[in-house]
Amino acid sequence: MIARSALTHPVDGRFGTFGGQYVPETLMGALVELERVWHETKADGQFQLELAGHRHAFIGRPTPIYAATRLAEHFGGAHIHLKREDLCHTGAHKLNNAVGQALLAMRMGKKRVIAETGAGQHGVATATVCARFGLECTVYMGGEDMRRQSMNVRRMKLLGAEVVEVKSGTRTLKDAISEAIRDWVTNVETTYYIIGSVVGPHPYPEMVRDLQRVIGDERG
Amino acid sequence: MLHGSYSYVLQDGDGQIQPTHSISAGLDYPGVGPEHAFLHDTKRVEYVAVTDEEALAAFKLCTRLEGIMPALEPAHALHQAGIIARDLGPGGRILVCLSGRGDKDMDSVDGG
Amino acid sequence: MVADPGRSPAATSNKSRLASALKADGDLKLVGYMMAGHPNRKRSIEVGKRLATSGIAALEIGIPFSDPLADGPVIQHAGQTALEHGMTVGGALEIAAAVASEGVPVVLMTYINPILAHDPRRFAAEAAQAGVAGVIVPDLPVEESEPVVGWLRSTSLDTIFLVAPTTSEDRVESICSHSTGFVYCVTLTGVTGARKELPDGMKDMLATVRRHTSLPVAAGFGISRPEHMKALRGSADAAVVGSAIVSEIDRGGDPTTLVKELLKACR
Repeated sequence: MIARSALTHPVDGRFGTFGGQYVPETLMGALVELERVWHETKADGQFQLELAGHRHAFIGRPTPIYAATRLAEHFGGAHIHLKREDLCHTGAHKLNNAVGQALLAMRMGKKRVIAETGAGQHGVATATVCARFGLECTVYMGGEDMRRQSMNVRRMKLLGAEVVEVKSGTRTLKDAISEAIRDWVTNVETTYYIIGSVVGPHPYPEMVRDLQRVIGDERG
Repeated sequence: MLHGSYSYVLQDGDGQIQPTHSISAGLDYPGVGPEHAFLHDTKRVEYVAVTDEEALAAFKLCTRLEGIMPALEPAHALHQAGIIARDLGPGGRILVCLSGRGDKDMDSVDGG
Repeated sequence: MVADPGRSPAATSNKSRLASALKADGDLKLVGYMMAGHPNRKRSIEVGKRLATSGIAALEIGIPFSDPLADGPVIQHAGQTALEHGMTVGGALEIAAAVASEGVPVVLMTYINPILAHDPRRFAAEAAQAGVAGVIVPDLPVEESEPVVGWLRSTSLDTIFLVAPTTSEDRVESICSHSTGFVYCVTLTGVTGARKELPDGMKDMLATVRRHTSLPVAAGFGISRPEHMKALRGSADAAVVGSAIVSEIDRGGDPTTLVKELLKACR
Protein backbone atom coordinates (compact mmCIF):
# COMPACT_ATOMS: atom_id res chain seq x y z
CA MET A 1 0.00 0.00 0.00
CA ILE A 2 1.42 3.35 -0.99
CA ALA A 3 1.11 6.25 1.38
CA ARG A 4 -0.94 8.86 -0.47
CA SER A 5 1.24 11.61 0.88
CA ALA A 6 4.20 10.11 -0.96
CA LEU A 7 2.38 10.68 -4.22
CA THR A 8 1.40 14.27 -3.72
CA HIS A 9 4.31 15.59 -1.70
CA PRO A 10 7.68 14.21 -2.63
CA VAL A 11 9.75 13.61 0.50
CA ASP A 12 13.13 15.36 0.32
CA GLY A 13 12.44 16.00 -3.35
CA ARG A 14 11.86 12.35 -4.13
CA PHE A 15 9.06 10.12 -5.33
CA GLY A 16 10.19 6.95 -3.61
CA THR A 17 13.81 6.59 -4.69
CA PHE A 18 13.29 8.70 -7.83
CA GLY A 19 13.90 12.42 -8.35
CA GLY A 20 16.35 14.48 -6.32
CA GLN A 21 18.56 17.44 -7.20
CA TYR A 22 21.65 16.27 -9.08
CA VAL A 23 22.81 19.62 -10.39
CA PRO A 24 25.95 21.78 -10.27
CA GLU A 25 26.34 23.62 -6.96
CA THR A 26 25.76 26.96 -8.74
CA LEU A 27 22.06 26.03 -9.13
CA MET A 28 21.43 24.69 -5.63
CA GLY A 29 20.59 28.07 -4.12
CA ALA A 30 18.15 28.80 -6.96
CA LEU A 31 16.42 25.43 -6.55
CA VAL A 32 16.04 25.86 -2.78
CA GLU A 33 14.57 29.32 -3.39
CA LEU A 34 12.28 28.04 -6.16
CA GLU A 35 10.92 25.28 -3.95
CA ARG A 36 10.23 27.72 -1.11
CA VAL A 37 8.54 30.29 -3.35
CA TRP A 38 6.49 27.65 -5.17
CA HIS A 39 5.07 26.16 -1.98
CA GLU A 40 4.32 29.62 -0.64
CA THR A 41 2.76 30.74 -3.94
CA LYS A 42 0.68 27.61 -4.43
CA ALA A 43 -0.99 28.23 -1.07
CA ASP A 44 -1.68 31.90 -1.85
CA GLY A 45 -5.35 32.50 -2.69
CA GLN A 46 -4.51 35.67 -4.61
CA PHE A 47 -2.18 33.71 -6.91
CA GLN A 48 -4.78 31.00 -7.47
CA LEU A 49 -7.36 33.65 -8.38
CA GLU A 50 -4.99 35.32 -10.82
CA LEU A 51 -4.12 31.95 -12.35
CA ALA A 52 -7.79 31.06 -12.68
CA GLY A 53 -8.39 34.35 -14.52
CA HIS A 54 -5.62 33.63 -17.03
CA ARG A 55 -6.81 30.06 -17.48
CA HIS A 56 -10.27 31.31 -18.37
CA ALA A 57 -9.61 34.34 -20.55
CA PHE A 58 -6.15 33.66 -21.97
CA ILE A 59 -5.91 29.87 -22.30
CA GLY A 60 -9.64 29.31 -22.92
CA ARG A 61 -10.34 26.86 -20.10
CA PRO A 62 -12.20 24.78 -19.16
CA THR A 63 -11.67 22.57 -22.18
CA PRO A 64 -14.56 20.29 -23.18
CA ILE A 65 -14.77 16.54 -23.07
CA TYR A 66 -15.78 15.29 -26.48
CA ALA A 67 -17.46 11.99 -27.36
CA ALA A 68 -15.53 10.51 -30.29
CA THR A 69 -18.42 8.43 -31.57
CA ARG A 70 -17.04 7.49 -34.98
CA LEU A 71 -13.70 6.38 -33.49
CA ALA A 72 -15.67 4.44 -30.88
CA GLU A 73 -17.68 2.71 -33.58
CA HIS A 74 -14.48 1.93 -35.52
CA PHE A 75 -12.95 0.30 -32.44
CA GLY A 76 -15.89 -1.95 -31.60
CA GLY A 77 -18.30 0.16 -29.59
CA ALA A 78 -16.67 1.17 -26.28
CA HIS A 79 -17.18 4.85 -25.48
CA ILE A 80 -14.13 6.96 -26.30
CA HIS A 81 -13.94 10.50 -24.94
CA LEU A 82 -11.30 13.10 -25.68
CA LYS A 83 -10.26 15.81 -23.23
CA ARG A 84 -9.77 18.62 -25.72
CA GLU A 85 -6.43 20.17 -24.66
CA ASP A 86 -5.88 20.81 -28.38
CA LEU A 87 -8.39 23.65 -27.99
CA CYS A 88 -6.16 25.53 -25.54
CA HIS A 89 -4.65 28.77 -26.81
CA THR A 90 -1.48 27.88 -28.80
CA GLY A 91 -2.87 24.40 -29.43
CA ALA A 92 -1.63 22.28 -26.56
CA HIS A 93 -1.73 21.70 -22.82
CA LYS A 94 1.72 23.32 -22.51
CA LEU A 95 0.28 26.74 -21.77
CA ASN A 96 -1.25 25.53 -18.46
CA ASN A 97 2.27 25.14 -17.10
CA ALA A 98 3.89 28.10 -18.85
CA VAL A 99 1.34 30.63 -17.52
CA GLY A 100 1.80 29.42 -13.94
CA GLN A 101 5.59 29.46 -14.09
CA ALA A 102 5.67 32.88 -15.79
CA LEU A 103 3.62 34.29 -12.90
CA LEU A 104 6.14 32.69 -10.55
CA ALA A 105 9.07 34.18 -12.48
CA MET A 106 7.56 37.65 -12.06
CA ARG A 107 6.96 37.04 -8.37
CA MET A 108 10.65 36.19 -8.04
CA GLY A 109 11.60 39.38 -9.87
CA LYS A 110 13.15 37.64 -12.89
CA LYS A 111 12.95 39.54 -16.17
CA ARG A 112 14.51 36.91 -18.41
CA VAL A 113 13.02 33.49 -19.14
CA ILE A 114 14.63 30.51 -20.84
CA ALA A 115 13.05 27.26 -22.00
CA GLU A 116 13.83 24.13 -23.96
CA THR A 117 11.54 22.70 -26.58
CA GLY A 118 11.26 19.48 -28.58
CA ALA A 119 8.26 19.68 -30.90
CA GLY A 120 8.10 23.39 -30.29
CA GLN A 121 4.83 23.43 -28.33
CA HIS A 122 6.45 24.28 -25.00
CA GLY A 123 8.66 26.83 -26.75
CA VAL A 124 5.61 28.46 -28.33
CA ALA A 125 3.77 28.42 -24.98
CA THR A 126 6.75 30.04 -23.23
CA ALA A 127 7.24 32.63 -26.00
CA THR A 128 3.50 33.36 -25.74
CA VAL A 129 3.48 34.00 -21.99
CA CYS A 130 6.65 36.08 -22.28
CA ALA A 131 4.93 38.26 -24.88
CA ARG A 132 1.84 38.47 -22.66
CA PHE A 133 3.78 39.48 -19.54
CA GLY A 134 6.62 41.45 -21.13
CA LEU A 135 9.48 39.07 -20.30
CA GLU A 136 12.63 38.51 -22.33
CA CYS A 137 12.58 34.99 -23.81
CA THR A 138 15.23 32.58 -25.12
CA VAL A 139 14.27 29.09 -26.32
CA TYR A 140 16.76 26.27 -26.87
CA MET A 141 15.83 23.83 -29.63
CA GLY A 142 17.77 21.00 -31.25
CA GLY A 143 18.84 21.60 -34.85
CA GLU A 144 17.09 18.43 -35.99
CA ASP A 145 13.83 19.54 -34.30
CA MET A 146 14.06 23.03 -35.82
CA ARG A 147 14.08 21.36 -39.22
CA ARG A 148 11.06 19.14 -38.60
CA GLN A 149 9.07 21.79 -36.68
CA SER A 150 9.84 24.89 -38.73
CA MET A 151 6.35 26.31 -38.31
CA ASN A 152 6.74 26.49 -34.54
CA VAL A 153 10.17 28.13 -34.96
CA ARG A 154 8.48 30.87 -36.99
CA ARG A 155 5.75 31.25 -34.36
CA MET A 156 8.29 31.67 -31.56
CA LYS A 157 10.24 34.27 -33.50
CA LEU A 158 7.07 36.24 -34.31
CA LEU A 159 6.24 36.18 -30.60
CA GLY A 160 9.55 37.89 -29.93
CA ALA A 161 11.59 34.96 -28.62
CA GLU A 162 15.17 34.27 -29.53
CA VAL A 163 15.44 30.66 -30.75
CA VAL A 164 18.89 29.17 -30.19
CA GLU A 165 19.83 26.20 -32.35
CA VAL A 166 21.47 23.43 -30.30
CA LYS A 167 24.13 21.64 -32.32
CA SER A 168 25.53 19.33 -29.66
CA GLY A 169 24.81 15.61 -29.17
CA THR A 170 21.73 14.27 -30.96
CA ARG A 171 20.36 17.80 -31.62
CA THR A 172 17.01 16.96 -30.05
CA LEU A 173 15.11 17.59 -26.81
CA LYS A 174 17.77 16.07 -24.53
CA ASP A 175 20.47 18.38 -25.83
CA ALA A 176 18.12 21.39 -25.75
CA ILE A 177 17.54 20.75 -22.01
CA SER A 178 21.30 20.37 -21.40
CA GLU A 179 21.98 23.66 -23.15
CA ALA A 180 19.17 25.43 -21.29
CA ILE A 181 20.62 24.18 -17.98
CA ARG A 182 24.06 25.52 -19.01
CA ASP A 183 22.47 28.90 -19.74
CA TRP A 184 20.77 28.79 -16.34
CA VAL A 185 24.06 27.96 -14.59
CA THR A 186 25.55 31.04 -16.27
CA ASN A 187 22.66 33.46 -15.75
CA VAL A 188 20.95 32.05 -12.66
CA GLU A 189 20.79 35.39 -10.87
CA THR A 190 18.68 37.10 -13.55
CA THR A 191 16.99 34.20 -15.28
CA TYR A 192 14.04 31.91 -14.63
CA TYR A 193 14.04 28.50 -16.35
CA ILE A 194 10.55 27.30 -17.38
CA ILE A 195 10.86 23.52 -17.80
CA GLY A 196 8.02 22.16 -19.92
CA SER A 197 7.73 18.56 -18.74
CA VAL A 198 7.74 16.66 -15.45
CA VAL A 199 11.53 16.20 -15.65
CA GLY A 200 14.56 17.98 -14.22
CA PRO A 201 15.61 18.52 -10.61
CA HIS A 202 13.15 18.92 -7.75
CA PRO A 203 10.88 20.94 -7.50
CA TYR A 204 10.23 20.99 -11.28
CA PRO A 205 8.54 17.58 -11.66
CA GLU A 206 6.20 18.38 -8.77
CA MET A 207 5.54 21.95 -9.92
CA VAL A 208 4.80 21.07 -13.57
CA ARG A 209 2.46 18.31 -12.36
CA ASP A 210 0.66 20.70 -9.99
CA LEU A 211 0.13 23.20 -12.80
CA GLN A 212 -1.18 20.51 -15.19
CA ARG A 213 -3.57 18.90 -12.72
CA VAL A 214 -6.22 21.38 -13.84
CA ILE A 215 -6.83 18.97 -16.75
CA GLY A 216 -7.94 16.27 -14.33
CA ASP A 217 -9.69 18.65 -11.95
CA GLU A 218 -12.04 19.73 -14.75
CA ARG A 219 -13.51 16.25 -15.14
CA GLY A 220 -17.30 16.01 -15.08
CA MET B 1 20.51 10.07 -13.81
CA LEU B 2 19.78 12.73 -16.40
CA HIS B 3 19.12 16.46 -16.15
CA GLY B 4 19.16 16.57 -12.39
CA SER B 5 16.95 13.72 -11.35
CA TYR B 6 17.16 9.99 -10.75
CA SER B 7 14.75 8.06 -12.96
CA TYR B 8 14.59 5.49 -15.75
CA VAL B 9 16.85 6.56 -18.61
CA LEU B 10 18.02 4.94 -21.83
CA GLN B 11 21.72 4.30 -21.25
CA ASP B 12 24.51 1.83 -22.01
CA GLY B 13 26.37 -0.23 -19.43
CA ASP B 14 28.78 2.64 -18.87
CA GLY B 15 26.09 5.18 -18.01
CA GLN B 16 26.28 7.02 -21.34
CA ILE B 17 22.86 8.31 -22.39
CA GLN B 18 21.81 6.68 -25.66
CA PRO B 19 20.36 8.34 -28.78
CA THR B 20 16.60 8.03 -29.22
CA HIS B 21 14.30 8.07 -32.18
CA SER B 22 10.68 9.04 -32.31
CA ILE B 23 8.63 10.45 -35.17
CA SER B 24 7.28 12.82 -32.54
CA ALA B 25 9.86 15.44 -31.54
CA GLY B 26 8.07 15.93 -28.21
CA LEU B 27 8.69 12.30 -27.27
CA ASP B 28 12.25 12.11 -28.57
CA TYR B 29 13.77 12.01 -25.09
CA PRO B 30 15.77 9.23 -23.40
CA GLY B 31 14.11 9.47 -19.98
CA VAL B 32 10.85 9.72 -18.06
CA GLY B 33 9.90 11.99 -15.18
CA PRO B 34 10.75 10.68 -11.69
CA GLU B 35 7.10 10.45 -10.62
CA HIS B 36 6.35 8.26 -13.66
CA ALA B 37 9.21 5.97 -12.62
CA PHE B 38 7.69 5.79 -9.14
CA LEU B 39 4.15 5.12 -10.43
CA HIS B 40 5.57 2.41 -12.69
CA ASP B 41 7.49 0.69 -9.90
CA THR B 42 4.55 0.84 -7.50
CA LYS B 43 2.30 -0.56 -10.28
CA ARG B 44 -0.13 2.34 -10.01
CA VAL B 45 0.19 3.06 -13.73
CA GLU B 46 0.79 0.76 -16.65
CA TYR B 47 3.07 2.16 -19.37
CA VAL B 48 2.89 0.85 -22.94
CA ALA B 49 5.17 1.34 -25.95
CA VAL B 50 3.64 2.45 -29.26
CA THR B 51 5.52 2.52 -32.58
CA ASP B 52 5.84 5.41 -35.06
CA GLU B 53 3.66 3.54 -37.57
CA GLU B 54 0.90 2.88 -35.04
CA ALA B 55 0.86 6.54 -33.98
CA LEU B 56 0.72 7.68 -37.62
CA ALA B 57 -2.20 5.36 -38.32
CA ALA B 58 -4.06 6.69 -35.26
CA PHE B 59 -3.31 10.28 -36.34
CA LYS B 60 -4.89 9.63 -39.74
CA LEU B 61 -7.84 7.73 -38.29
CA CYS B 62 -8.75 10.45 -35.78
CA THR B 63 -8.37 13.16 -38.41
CA ARG B 64 -10.60 11.38 -40.93
CA LEU B 65 -13.23 10.00 -38.56
CA GLU B 66 -13.60 12.89 -36.10
CA GLY B 67 -12.38 15.95 -37.97
CA ILE B 68 -9.88 16.46 -35.16
CA MET B 69 -6.21 16.43 -36.08
CA PRO B 70 -4.28 15.25 -33.00
CA ALA B 71 -0.62 15.97 -32.33
CA LEU B 72 1.61 12.95 -32.91
CA GLU B 73 2.27 12.76 -29.14
CA PRO B 74 -1.36 11.97 -28.13
CA ALA B 75 -1.76 9.93 -31.35
CA HIS B 76 0.32 7.32 -29.51
CA ALA B 77 -2.34 7.28 -26.79
CA LEU B 78 -5.15 7.09 -29.35
CA HIS B 79 -3.62 3.93 -30.78
CA GLN B 80 -3.63 2.31 -27.35
CA ALA B 81 -7.19 3.56 -26.74
CA GLY B 82 -8.21 1.55 -29.80
CA ILE B 83 -6.68 -1.62 -28.36
CA ILE B 84 -8.31 -1.09 -24.98
CA ALA B 85 -11.65 -0.28 -26.65
CA ARG B 86 -11.63 -3.59 -28.51
CA ASP B 87 -10.80 -5.31 -25.23
CA LEU B 88 -13.60 -3.63 -23.27
CA GLY B 89 -16.24 -3.87 -25.98
CA PRO B 90 -19.58 -1.96 -25.92
CA GLY B 91 -20.26 -0.40 -22.53
CA GLY B 92 -16.60 0.28 -21.84
CA ARG B 93 -15.51 3.88 -21.25
CA ILE B 94 -12.18 5.42 -22.15
CA LEU B 95 -10.98 8.98 -21.62
CA VAL B 96 -7.99 10.12 -23.66
CA CYS B 97 -6.17 13.34 -22.88
CA LEU B 98 -5.79 14.85 -26.32
CA SER B 99 -2.84 16.98 -25.28
CA GLY B 100 -2.45 19.04 -28.45
CA ARG B 101 -3.39 19.58 -32.06
CA GLY B 102 -1.52 18.17 -35.02
CA ASP B 103 -1.06 21.09 -37.44
CA LYS B 104 2.64 21.19 -36.48
CA ASP B 105 3.05 17.55 -37.53
CA MET B 106 1.60 17.73 -41.05
CA ASP B 107 5.05 17.68 -42.66
CA SER B 108 6.09 14.58 -40.68
CA VAL B 109 2.85 12.81 -41.59
CA ASP B 110 3.03 13.69 -45.31
CA GLY B 111 6.61 12.46 -45.42
CA GLY B 112 5.74 9.26 -43.51
CA MET C 1 24.05 13.43 5.96
CA VAL C 2 27.55 13.86 7.35
CA ALA C 3 29.21 10.44 7.15
CA ASP C 4 31.25 10.85 10.30
CA PRO C 5 30.70 14.08 12.19
CA GLY C 6 33.45 13.17 14.64
CA ARG C 7 36.13 13.43 11.98
CA SER C 8 37.33 16.96 11.44
CA PRO C 9 38.62 18.05 8.03
CA ALA C 10 41.92 19.01 9.68
CA ALA C 11 42.44 15.49 10.96
CA THR C 12 41.79 14.13 7.48
CA SER C 13 44.11 16.58 5.82
CA ASN C 14 47.06 15.20 7.80
CA LYS C 15 46.71 11.95 5.92
CA SER C 16 45.71 13.38 2.55
CA ARG C 17 48.27 13.49 -0.26
CA LEU C 18 46.12 16.06 -2.01
CA ALA C 19 45.95 18.35 1.00
CA SER C 20 49.74 18.42 1.34
CA ALA C 21 50.31 18.73 -2.42
CA LEU C 22 47.95 21.65 -2.88
CA LYS C 23 48.73 23.80 0.16
CA ALA C 24 50.37 27.00 -1.13
CA ASP C 25 53.88 27.50 0.22
CA GLY C 26 54.42 31.04 -0.92
CA ASP C 27 53.85 29.92 -4.50
CA LEU C 28 50.42 29.29 -5.95
CA LYS C 29 50.03 25.60 -6.87
CA LEU C 30 48.79 24.59 -10.31
CA VAL C 31 46.31 21.78 -10.95
CA GLY C 32 45.99 20.56 -14.54
CA TYR C 33 43.07 18.87 -16.27
CA MET C 34 42.81 16.47 -19.16
CA MET C 35 40.02 14.30 -20.54
CA ALA C 36 40.69 10.56 -20.47
CA GLY C 37 40.77 9.22 -24.02
CA HIS C 38 41.06 12.61 -25.69
CA PRO C 39 41.98 12.71 -28.48
CA ASN C 40 42.51 8.95 -28.16
CA ARG C 41 43.68 6.44 -25.57
CA LYS C 42 47.33 6.27 -26.59
CA ARG C 43 47.93 9.99 -26.87
CA SER C 44 45.95 10.64 -23.72
CA ILE C 45 48.40 8.48 -21.72
CA GLU C 46 51.41 10.22 -23.33
CA VAL C 47 50.01 13.68 -22.61
CA GLY C 48 49.05 12.67 -19.07
CA LYS C 49 52.56 11.46 -18.29
CA ARG C 50 54.08 14.65 -19.68
CA LEU C 51 51.71 16.79 -17.64
CA ALA C 52 52.44 14.69 -14.54
CA THR C 53 56.10 15.72 -14.62
CA SER C 54 55.58 19.31 -15.77
CA GLY C 55 55.58 20.87 -12.32
CA ILE C 56 51.85 20.72 -11.56
CA ALA C 57 50.76 19.83 -8.02
CA ALA C 58 47.94 17.50 -9.11
CA LEU C 59 46.18 16.38 -12.26
CA GLU C 60 42.45 16.10 -12.74
CA ILE C 61 41.44 13.44 -15.23
CA GLY C 62 37.95 13.69 -16.68
CA ILE C 63 35.92 10.56 -17.38
CA PRO C 64 33.74 11.41 -20.37
CA PHE C 65 29.96 11.56 -20.00
CA SER C 66 27.46 12.04 -22.82
CA ASP C 67 25.64 14.94 -21.12
CA PRO C 68 28.13 17.06 -19.16
CA LEU C 69 25.96 19.85 -17.71
CA ALA C 70 28.77 21.77 -16.01
CA ASP C 71 31.08 21.85 -19.01
CA GLY C 72 31.56 24.42 -21.75
CA PRO C 73 32.18 23.67 -25.44
CA VAL C 74 35.89 22.73 -25.16
CA ILE C 75 35.49 19.99 -22.57
CA GLN C 76 32.17 18.85 -24.10
CA HIS C 77 33.96 18.35 -27.39
CA ALA C 78 36.87 16.53 -25.76
CA GLY C 79 34.47 14.18 -23.97
CA GLN C 80 32.51 13.49 -27.13
CA THR C 81 35.73 12.74 -29.05
CA ALA C 82 36.85 10.36 -26.31
CA LEU C 83 33.49 8.55 -26.35
CA GLU C 84 33.58 8.28 -30.14
CA HIS C 85 36.96 6.60 -29.79
CA GLY C 86 35.46 4.07 -27.40
CA MET C 87 36.57 5.46 -24.04
CA THR C 88 34.87 3.80 -21.06
CA VAL C 89 34.95 4.20 -17.27
CA GLY C 90 37.24 1.17 -17.09
CA GLY C 91 39.49 2.59 -19.82
CA ALA C 92 39.69 5.92 -18.00
CA LEU C 93 40.72 4.17 -14.78
CA GLU C 94 43.56 2.46 -16.71
CA ILE C 95 44.73 5.84 -18.01
CA ALA C 96 44.53 7.25 -14.48
CA ALA C 97 46.67 4.36 -13.19
CA ALA C 98 49.29 4.92 -15.88
CA VAL C 99 49.48 8.65 -15.13
CA ALA C 100 49.41 8.22 -11.33
CA SER C 101 52.42 5.90 -11.59
CA GLU C 102 54.45 9.03 -12.44
CA GLY C 103 53.87 10.15 -8.86
CA VAL C 104 51.46 13.03 -9.37
CA PRO C 105 48.25 12.96 -7.28
CA VAL C 106 45.39 12.19 -9.68
CA VAL C 107 41.84 13.43 -9.12
CA LEU C 108 39.04 11.92 -11.19
CA MET C 109 36.31 14.28 -12.35
CA THR C 110 33.11 12.82 -13.71
CA TYR C 111 29.34 12.94 -13.42
CA ILE C 112 27.25 10.79 -11.13
CA ASN C 113 25.60 8.68 -13.85
CA PRO C 114 28.73 6.86 -15.10
CA ILE C 115 29.70 6.15 -11.47
CA LEU C 116 26.24 4.71 -10.71
CA ALA C 117 26.23 2.64 -13.90
CA HIS C 118 29.72 1.27 -13.12
CA ASP C 119 28.57 0.49 -9.54
CA PRO C 120 29.88 3.07 -7.07
CA ARG C 121 31.47 0.48 -4.74
CA ARG C 122 33.34 -1.12 -7.61
CA PHE C 123 34.30 2.35 -8.91
CA ALA C 124 35.69 3.31 -5.49
CA ALA C 125 37.71 0.11 -5.20
CA GLU C 126 39.08 0.33 -8.74
CA ALA C 127 39.95 4.02 -8.43
CA ALA C 128 41.81 3.42 -5.18
CA GLN C 129 43.65 0.49 -6.74
CA ALA C 130 44.61 2.71 -9.71
CA GLY C 131 46.37 5.00 -7.24
CA VAL C 132 43.81 7.79 -7.58
CA ALA C 133 43.86 10.36 -4.75
CA GLY C 134 40.40 11.89 -4.97
CA VAL C 135 37.13 12.28 -6.87
CA ILE C 136 35.09 15.33 -7.94
CA VAL C 137 31.48 14.88 -9.07
CA PRO C 138 30.12 18.27 -10.21
CA ASP C 139 26.48 17.19 -10.30
CA LEU C 140 26.51 15.68 -6.82
CA PRO C 141 25.69 18.36 -4.25
CA VAL C 142 26.30 17.54 -0.57
CA GLU C 143 22.58 16.86 0.06
CA GLU C 144 22.62 13.99 -2.45
CA SER C 145 26.13 12.77 -1.68
CA GLU C 146 25.37 9.73 0.47
CA PRO C 147 25.85 6.83 0.14
CA VAL C 148 28.24 7.29 -2.80
CA VAL C 149 30.64 9.55 -0.93
CA GLY C 150 30.78 7.14 2.00
CA TRP C 151 31.86 4.36 -0.35
CA LEU C 152 34.54 6.56 -1.94
CA ARG C 153 35.89 7.56 1.48
CA SER C 154 35.96 3.98 2.70
CA THR C 155 38.66 3.26 0.13
CA SER C 156 40.61 6.33 1.35
CA LEU C 157 39.72 8.47 -1.68
CA ASP C 158 39.33 12.18 -0.99
CA THR C 159 35.95 13.64 -1.93
CA ILE C 160 36.10 17.20 -3.18
CA PHE C 161 32.96 19.33 -3.27
CA LEU C 162 32.43 22.58 -5.13
CA VAL C 163 31.53 26.01 -3.80
CA ALA C 164 29.94 28.43 -6.29
CA PRO C 165 29.55 32.22 -6.20
CA THR C 166 25.83 31.63 -5.54
CA THR C 167 26.48 29.38 -2.52
CA SER C 168 25.13 30.80 0.74
CA GLU C 169 27.44 30.92 3.76
CA ASP C 170 25.63 28.13 5.63
CA ARG C 171 26.01 25.94 2.55
CA VAL C 172 29.73 26.86 2.40
CA GLU C 173 30.06 25.54 5.94
CA SER C 174 28.32 22.27 5.04
CA ILE C 175 30.35 21.84 1.83
CA CYS C 176 33.62 22.40 3.70
CA SER C 177 32.66 19.87 6.36
CA HIS C 178 31.92 17.29 3.64
CA SER C 179 35.15 17.90 1.70
CA THR C 180 38.48 16.19 2.15
CA GLY C 181 41.73 16.80 0.23
CA PHE C 182 40.78 20.32 -0.84
CA VAL C 183 37.79 22.57 -1.45
CA TYR C 184 37.07 23.57 -5.04
CA CYS C 185 35.84 27.14 -5.58
CA VAL C 186 34.07 27.76 -8.86
CA THR C 187 35.14 31.33 -9.56
CA LEU C 188 32.19 32.30 -11.75
CA THR C 189 28.53 31.47 -12.40
CA GLY C 190 28.81 29.41 -15.55
CA VAL C 191 30.27 26.35 -17.17
CA THR C 192 33.93 25.41 -17.65
CA GLY C 193 35.92 27.30 -20.28
CA ALA C 194 38.64 29.90 -20.55
CA ARG C 195 37.63 33.52 -19.84
CA LYS C 196 39.50 36.76 -20.37
CA GLU C 197 38.90 38.09 -16.88
CA LEU C 198 38.01 36.60 -13.54
CA PRO C 199 35.05 38.07 -11.65
CA ASP C 200 35.46 40.79 -9.01
CA GLY C 201 33.80 38.90 -6.16
CA MET C 202 36.26 36.01 -6.40
CA LYS C 203 38.57 37.10 -3.58
CA ASP C 204 35.67 37.59 -1.16
CA MET C 205 34.40 34.11 -1.95
CA LEU C 206 37.83 32.56 -1.39
CA ALA C 207 38.09 34.42 1.93
CA THR C 208 34.66 33.15 3.02
CA VAL C 209 35.63 29.57 2.22
CA ARG C 210 38.90 29.95 4.15
CA ARG C 211 36.96 30.93 7.27
CA HIS C 212 35.27 27.53 7.18
CA THR C 213 38.12 25.17 6.38
CA SER C 214 41.78 24.50 7.02
CA LEU C 215 41.97 22.47 3.80
CA PRO C 216 43.69 23.94 0.75
CA VAL C 217 41.34 26.02 -1.37
CA ALA C 218 41.58 25.67 -5.15
CA ALA C 219 40.00 28.06 -7.65
CA GLY C 220 38.74 26.79 -11.00
CA PHE C 221 36.59 27.57 -14.10
CA GLY C 222 37.70 30.25 -16.52
CA ILE C 223 41.34 30.28 -15.40
CA SER C 224 43.71 30.24 -18.35
CA ARG C 225 46.20 33.14 -18.29
CA PRO C 226 49.33 34.16 -16.37
CA GLU C 227 47.56 37.28 -15.05
CA HIS C 228 44.89 35.02 -13.51
CA MET C 229 47.64 33.24 -11.55
CA LYS C 230 48.93 36.56 -10.27
CA ALA C 231 45.41 37.56 -9.23
CA LEU C 232 44.92 34.31 -7.31
CA ARG C 233 48.27 34.31 -5.51
CA GLY C 234 47.68 35.01 -1.86
CA SER C 235 43.94 34.27 -1.93
CA ALA C 236 43.88 30.68 -3.22
CA ASP C 237 46.24 27.77 -2.57
CA ALA C 238 45.88 26.41 -6.06
CA ALA C 239 44.48 27.23 -9.48
CA VAL C 240 42.82 24.63 -11.71
CA VAL C 241 43.42 25.06 -15.44
CA GLY C 242 41.21 22.88 -17.63
CA SER C 243 39.85 24.10 -20.94
CA ALA C 244 43.05 25.98 -21.87
CA ILE C 245 45.08 22.74 -21.53
CA VAL C 246 42.41 20.68 -23.31
CA SER C 247 42.36 23.18 -26.23
CA GLU C 248 46.12 22.79 -26.55
CA ILE C 249 45.80 18.98 -26.60
CA ASP C 250 42.98 19.27 -29.11
CA ARG C 251 45.06 21.22 -31.59
CA GLY C 252 47.87 18.67 -31.24
CA GLY C 253 50.17 20.98 -29.32
CA ASP C 254 52.24 20.38 -26.18
CA PRO C 255 50.26 21.54 -23.14
CA THR C 256 53.36 21.57 -20.93
CA THR C 257 54.51 24.78 -22.67
CA LEU C 258 51.37 26.50 -21.37
CA VAL C 259 51.84 24.89 -17.94
CA LYS C 260 55.41 26.21 -17.69
CA GLU C 261 54.31 29.70 -18.70
CA LEU C 262 51.56 29.65 -16.07
CA LEU C 263 53.88 28.25 -13.39
CA LYS C 264 56.19 31.25 -13.82
CA ALA C 265 53.30 33.49 -12.86
CA CYS C 266 52.59 31.35 -9.78
CA ARG C 267 55.85 32.31 -8.11
